Amino acid sequence: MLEKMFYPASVAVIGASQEKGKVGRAVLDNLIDRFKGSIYPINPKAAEIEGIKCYKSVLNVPGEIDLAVIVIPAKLVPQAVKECGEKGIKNLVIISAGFKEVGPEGARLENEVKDIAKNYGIRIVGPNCLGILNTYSGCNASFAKKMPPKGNMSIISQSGALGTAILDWSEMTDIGFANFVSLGNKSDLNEIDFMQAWRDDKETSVILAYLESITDGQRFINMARDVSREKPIIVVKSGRTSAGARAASSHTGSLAGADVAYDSAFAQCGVIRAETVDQFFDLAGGFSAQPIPKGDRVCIVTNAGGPGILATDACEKLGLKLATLATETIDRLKTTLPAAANFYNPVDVLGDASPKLYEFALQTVIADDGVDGVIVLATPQAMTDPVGIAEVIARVRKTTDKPILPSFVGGTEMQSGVDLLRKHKLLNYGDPERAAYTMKTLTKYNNIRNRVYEKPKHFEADRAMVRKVIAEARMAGITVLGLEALPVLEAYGIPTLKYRIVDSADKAVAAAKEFGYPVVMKIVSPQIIHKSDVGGVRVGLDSDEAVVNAYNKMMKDVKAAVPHCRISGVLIQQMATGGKEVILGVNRDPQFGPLIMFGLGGIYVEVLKDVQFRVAPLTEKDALGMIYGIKTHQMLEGVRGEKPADIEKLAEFLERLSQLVTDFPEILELDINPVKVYEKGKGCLALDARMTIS
Amino acid sequence: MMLNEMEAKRLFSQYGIRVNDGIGVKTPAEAADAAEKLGFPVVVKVLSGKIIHKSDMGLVALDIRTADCARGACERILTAARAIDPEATAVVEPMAPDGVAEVIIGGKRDPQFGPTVLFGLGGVFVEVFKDVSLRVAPVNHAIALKMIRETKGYTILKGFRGKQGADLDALADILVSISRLMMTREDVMELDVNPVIAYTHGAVAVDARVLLRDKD
Repeated sequence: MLEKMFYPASVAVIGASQEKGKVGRAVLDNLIDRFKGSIYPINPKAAEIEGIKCYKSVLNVPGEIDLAVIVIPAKLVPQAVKECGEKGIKNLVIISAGFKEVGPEGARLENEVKDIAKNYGIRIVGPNCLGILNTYSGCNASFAKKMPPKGNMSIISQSGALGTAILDWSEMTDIGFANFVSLGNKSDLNEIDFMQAWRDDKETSVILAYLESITDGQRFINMARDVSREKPIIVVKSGRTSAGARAASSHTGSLAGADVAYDSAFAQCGVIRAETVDQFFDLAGGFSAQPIPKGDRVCIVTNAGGPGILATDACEKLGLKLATLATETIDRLKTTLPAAANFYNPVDVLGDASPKLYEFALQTVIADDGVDGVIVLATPQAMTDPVGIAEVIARVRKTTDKPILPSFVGGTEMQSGVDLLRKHKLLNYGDPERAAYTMKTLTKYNNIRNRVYEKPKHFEADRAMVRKVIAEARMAGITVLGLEALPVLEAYGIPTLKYRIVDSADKAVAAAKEFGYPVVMKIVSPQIIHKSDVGGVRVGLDSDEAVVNAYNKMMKDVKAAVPHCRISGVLIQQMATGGKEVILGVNRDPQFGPLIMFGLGGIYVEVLKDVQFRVAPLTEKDALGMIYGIKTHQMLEGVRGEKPADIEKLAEFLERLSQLVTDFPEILELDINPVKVYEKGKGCLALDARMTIS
Repeated sequence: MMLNEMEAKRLFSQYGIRVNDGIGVKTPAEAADAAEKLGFPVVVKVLSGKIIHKSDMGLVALDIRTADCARGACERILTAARAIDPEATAVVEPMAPDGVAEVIIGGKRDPQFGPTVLFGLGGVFVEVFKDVSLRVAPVNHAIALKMIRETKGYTILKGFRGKQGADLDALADILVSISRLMMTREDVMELDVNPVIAYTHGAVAVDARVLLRDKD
């Protein structure tokens, strides 16, 4: 897919300019610089540029054209695209700006271009972008200043400027790229298409992206989940804090900040999220040059105690294990390292260690089956030979399938070593913590590529019932449903506590008898919000007599407290005793769709905000991950001699809820609060709900 | 060396901290008498300088409402406790009513910085979320209030969901007293007032543990 976009045999530059300094000229110069195929400048006013023959239109070009780059004013673009279509060109890069980004008029123009392209089966990158490039075909169809060095990473950038910054970094570190694409307005091709294209690109082994938004959340998840198993996808996404103030009428809505959906979605589909540009670069360096470790047991080799402790702290903080070296390894280290050295992890080869000693120590710990990866620290001391140590790292790195991350700490003295590492495409981590972070992320990717994806389960459900409840609510002009939403849950196999609204004491007794004692009684009146304040709630009613008395008293009390209220009746519900209270919720994210929340009830959600989110549809593993993901999960596993709660059934609850909101996009928000979770084997019960429909 | 609960509370009293005073007993019969004297409900706890986790070991009986029950609870507790500490006795205390929240106030002598004080809300707040605030002593009333306000548990203490809040000044006073105690009693290595029950008016230290430096 998109093969000819990145590996074209011929390229036309529509708007190629004679004038130095113009974008149309920069693109042409970039192509001339490296591209071996045919180049066709399109310019009605020029005969030739840089000795290359110009054409009035692509229609005048004699040969086939695989890719056209458009660098002309926006209003002329539709006509140019039409001509490309007539010529049979299938790949377009529209660099020109003046489209959607400038307002409604530009948006109209962009739609016109899209329609024309669609008619001819043309794929478009942009408009309003920096262009694309491929270092292997030499096709630099962009106005970036330089071609980056060749490498095994491919990058998607939603910001042209950040794209050029990354290319500049690449130049400095010698860590190169295969493909680069600047997304621009994403009128046609977006991040999902490039992930898909580069999964099959033999030059790409790591996919990087800078994103500001995602075009189709569910498609992104599905594609990224597939691709991330074969190639790591590392994303830095901006916009963590904006749009957080979205009005929310549910718990789930208020707890799900603007960015929670992205974090959840990325974790679910195996996308690695870097928090900062520095982290992004550190991971780029690690993933491009280092093998993926099979586990998380790290050995540290150092020539000084201080950095060794810093690295140890960083590893432990990030959840890496410090490898316990085998007795044979330690014995072997003792044969050659000086007596004052530390033979246990971190292995301290001492300040005067020669490159030879480093090599011996490194090879010895690498050979230990209990070591999955190594961080090599070096600090400038009188005898330190940074170049020699760097050579050792580069050499040993080639002999093993375990990652070896260099961390040369210092400045001027260490620079010669850092430079040598760069020659071998190895990035130096000037702070041991950065090396530990990179190692941790490499191990995380090992889990991502090995994980097995199970499809979400499918449950039998009474969809007609849900449609009926929603239709009735709409008829009545109701958008927020309370207890009336419980049948919707029942329809999806989520047991709910039965209730009935009655209008006499006799009917109240009949309902109570049917449900079983004890029962709860609540006033139902549109004018009363705080029911208990006006005597409108009675709990623990355990006999016919108690129900009759409570009914009569409630009528009297409520009428006395709120003289002119309209009483629709009283609600009778069985009193749910025992069990643990949890909250299940759904909020709809504009990009990813339904976002499911789980947490323990009361202060756990409201004060401690101890909740977990996942994007629907949920697999059983997702559901269990949510339950065990909260910090207070022990409360469900049984503390202080309690029996464990029915976590299995709770997970199924979450899966059923996920299916419900996936089937019915008209459900905008849904809180099930509380849900009672009983002892293992005894199931769960939804007591109350609040559902917002569109 | 560990002070038993009564000794610890006596020490706290000297520093102006309100404690839930009890009566020390050596036999079940004495426990029944003490309970009658205090009025019900009462609590019976083991009293020992050797047993630290008395609740976990079942050596605390709460909400006892008759003299017979007090006698029975004491009997059971003493039998179990004396298997570990032959000198163990028991204490009968009035059962403190529920308050706004239970908090933990602690003091510890740090090898580098000297006396430090700690504040946190009991239960999951401290145990799971490590939601505590710490200062190097001495702390004054203003700092103590700041310590209370910087914990997540403050949400509960200031009055959650329309409920009345706790007496923050009373809690701050205890923190200041503990700070003073740690500054003046150099032989105190570590102490916990756990729990302190925080009421709308006032706060009471219900259980306590003090570790003294071993004499050479």
